[in-house]
Amino acid sequence: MKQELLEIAKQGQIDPETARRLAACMSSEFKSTPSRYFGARKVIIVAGASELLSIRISGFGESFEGRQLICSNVDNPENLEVIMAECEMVLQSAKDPDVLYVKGGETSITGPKYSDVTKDLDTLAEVLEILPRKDPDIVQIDNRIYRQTGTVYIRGPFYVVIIER
Amino acid sequence: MNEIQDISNLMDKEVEAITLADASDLPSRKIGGKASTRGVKLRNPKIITAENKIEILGPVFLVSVAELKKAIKNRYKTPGQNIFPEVVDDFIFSNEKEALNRLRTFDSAQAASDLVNLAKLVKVPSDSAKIVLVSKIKPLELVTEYIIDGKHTSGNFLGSFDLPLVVMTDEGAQFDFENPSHVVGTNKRVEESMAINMNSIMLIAERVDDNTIQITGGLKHVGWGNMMAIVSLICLLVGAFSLIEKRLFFFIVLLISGAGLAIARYLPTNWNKRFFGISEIQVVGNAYTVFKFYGEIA
Repeated sequence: MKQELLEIAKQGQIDPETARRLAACMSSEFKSTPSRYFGARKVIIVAGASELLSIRISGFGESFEGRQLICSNVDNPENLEVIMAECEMVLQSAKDPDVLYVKGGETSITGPKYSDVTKDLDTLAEVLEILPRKDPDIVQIDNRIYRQTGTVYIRGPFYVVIIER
Repeated sequence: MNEIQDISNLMDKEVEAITLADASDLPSRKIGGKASTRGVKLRNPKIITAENKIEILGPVFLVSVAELKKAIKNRYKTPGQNIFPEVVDDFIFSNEKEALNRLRTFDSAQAASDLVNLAKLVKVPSDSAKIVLVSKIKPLELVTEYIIDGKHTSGNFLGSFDLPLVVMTDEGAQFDFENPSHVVGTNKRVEESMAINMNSIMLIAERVDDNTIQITGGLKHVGWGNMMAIVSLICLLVGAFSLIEKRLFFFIVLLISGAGLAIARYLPTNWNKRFFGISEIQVVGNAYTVFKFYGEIA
């Protein structure tokens, strides 16, 4: 596997930055990873030394072949979703965990199916808070006690009001 | 109406041209077809109705009245039994004051503002088949500044529109189209449903497919509840029959059992709420605006 990666890096058919990044991983181990889903702003996929990538894009009638595929979201705030669910084996570089060696199967890269245009149509329901009760909880008139009454109105020719705070 | 028909014919030709374009043609940004969407965001759109030409400055959202009503009904809920969806209908179609009175114990200022704005757009149930252009969906803000037939208008809100109508802009539009849609692009990079960002668009809103329904959910142990109700009814009926037959013992036993089951099932005690849950009204489904469009993808 390392030999293959070295050959890819040496071939010079991929961009220098990616080649340098691959070459830097040669000194460390690659370990099997259970992760099959990754989120990314940019995804670079480089073909193995012997075979080109076979690329299919939803909606296009024909398929494509290529040495290096780059998918990126620039303006779109959403991350791309990289799914390797059907791959036989995924090995992750111990030095650079974002470098993965994938064997067989199919990797898919998707963008968001939906934009945020309708997000305000779907927001979670907001629970209307109960207003604090302003009516008195206990009203005592002489010896009679009333609880949870409505508003109390007092009238009289003369009376004293004492407020406790 | 003739103008709308002319635009429709023009659009048909453009979409046909995209459909028939040779696969070997250079990819272009042209896209068009028929789409179902819940909402379209447009910037500085011009609208052509059967009667008027309207220009709006700034971003607006095109949504169906039914979709907007659904969004408002699901936007707030009252604690315990959720009465808000009922209040929305009452507020719009019955008595505004009485409806708001039902919310008097809640902090409902924002909800009331949404209700008032919604009621300006909807008057009768059949208005659900119309569409509206609003400045903001949450909180609901209506378009109050626009140019109608060349005359600047400020303060009056823009109401709902009968279909068909034409909406166009060269300054950007976004929407997500859903199944069923039939959208084609010259470069054929079109899926069954996707988010689309356009530089320019000309669309004719043709109809609203309202698939929304109001459901009551959130109840648990529904089978037990129904069984309790049925057994309670049987006990009471047989109990009444026992009384006629002068079998006092059976009458008392069946009366107590029937009443006990009915109380357990229907009296809103804490146990009842915990065991059967609290019913919650919710609006589900979507009310798609179906439109024909043509334009340039961003």
